[in-house]
Amino acid sequence: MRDPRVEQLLTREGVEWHIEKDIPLSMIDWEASLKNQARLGQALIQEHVDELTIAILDGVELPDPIGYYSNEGRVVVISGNHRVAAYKQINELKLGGPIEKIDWYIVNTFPWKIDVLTRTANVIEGLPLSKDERLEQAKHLVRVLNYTEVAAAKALAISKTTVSYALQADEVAERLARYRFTDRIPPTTLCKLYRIKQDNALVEAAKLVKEAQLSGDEATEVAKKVEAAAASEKQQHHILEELRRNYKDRIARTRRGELKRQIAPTIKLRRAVNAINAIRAESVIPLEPDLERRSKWAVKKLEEVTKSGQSA
Amino acid sequence: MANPLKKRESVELVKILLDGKWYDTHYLALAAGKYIAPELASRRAKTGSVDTGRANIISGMLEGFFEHGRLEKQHDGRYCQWKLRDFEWAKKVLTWAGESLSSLPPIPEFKTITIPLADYNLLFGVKQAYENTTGESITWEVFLIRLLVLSLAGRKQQE
Repeated sequence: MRDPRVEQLLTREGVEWHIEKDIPLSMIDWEASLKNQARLGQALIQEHVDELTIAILDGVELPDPIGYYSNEGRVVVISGNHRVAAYKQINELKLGGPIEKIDWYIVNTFPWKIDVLTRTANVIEGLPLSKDERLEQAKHLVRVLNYTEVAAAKALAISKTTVSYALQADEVAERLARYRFTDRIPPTTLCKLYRIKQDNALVEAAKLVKEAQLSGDEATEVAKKVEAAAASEKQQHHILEELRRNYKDRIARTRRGELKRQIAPTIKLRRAVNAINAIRAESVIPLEPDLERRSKWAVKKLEEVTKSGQSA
Repeated sequence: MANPLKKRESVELVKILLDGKWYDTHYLALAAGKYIAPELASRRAKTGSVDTGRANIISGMLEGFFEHGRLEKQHDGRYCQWKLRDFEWAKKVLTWAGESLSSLPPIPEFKTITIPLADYNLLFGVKQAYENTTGESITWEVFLIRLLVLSLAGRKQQE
């Protein structure tokens, strides 16, 4: 079935495309199709394939997948792996009348553009990518395909600020790693230190953030003060010493294990939901130790959030 | 099997190591690993973590280079460090990467132009008529170039 959203996307992206009817399923390069999927972890989610299989058997018409012809003359899927897998499943399990041919949106464009489409097409159709997946793909577009942050954010339907902060946090982590600072600081706090351009001051500020368990806002204040003294290394050092004195009690409490980083309930909830979403039905049986741990953690966090919500 | 050096991350890795200094695995995993596609990285980690997957890939790459005598390796307490040994090889890699890049067709620079809708419809009509006459489907780029050539040829004839 034709899908106007897909046609709009392909036209907007400026690629040549046409509809090709009745391409045999045997023409699909399945290995290459699964390899180039934007989804993190498993390329195919069996539960979703099953859902689509049931839908097809119920007579639902699914939008035509998007693909391109490889050099070997076979069709590689850009978007629609789950749909194609559902058609294959129907044939393999003999669930209904055999489906031998399907219609396709065939794209003819540069390899880099195919790469971009593969990473972005799920924004408008198919099983959507999670926010984390979209953020990773946006960063990839900026780093490898020279997209601007604005263009990458738009292509993946996230805010430009989210992409910018994530890239800044990665850059700070990389600079800190150069000086063997490997303690974990959340990216949302790490990006606040981006404005500190002097490596020594950055490492000292990061140590302070970690040791005093500073929040994102507090880290911003630290970074502002350190950067304001950027003209002199000595003055920067002096400011950091002063800040360290100011946070002396916090550092001592953290060392004694009395202070843990405060996480906002909304962030806790989002993490809990993400953790639950990450537990996919097909991987639950048998329950792997890691999944068990994650699910217990997710339930615990949800309980915490519910309790704090009730008490508030 | 694909040549590992065809990948951006390996070229970036060599570029970092080219100054002959010691670098920690953790730093290299971040600095070069960021060019690995996230979906490929996540499939290389048991937990599905992109960062762990990238670290695994870069670590494997470094071990491979070390086994082939391209790098030196040392353990400094809890850190594993790497330094370039075979500079000739590194130069070859970077020269090869440069040549490969220059031999690739350039990525076209897309620019958005804004024209009145009436003009667009007129141009679109001319393009369709041209395609119907010639029997071939052409891109806007090709059409506009041909239009320009025809226009210049017409002006020359008039002169």
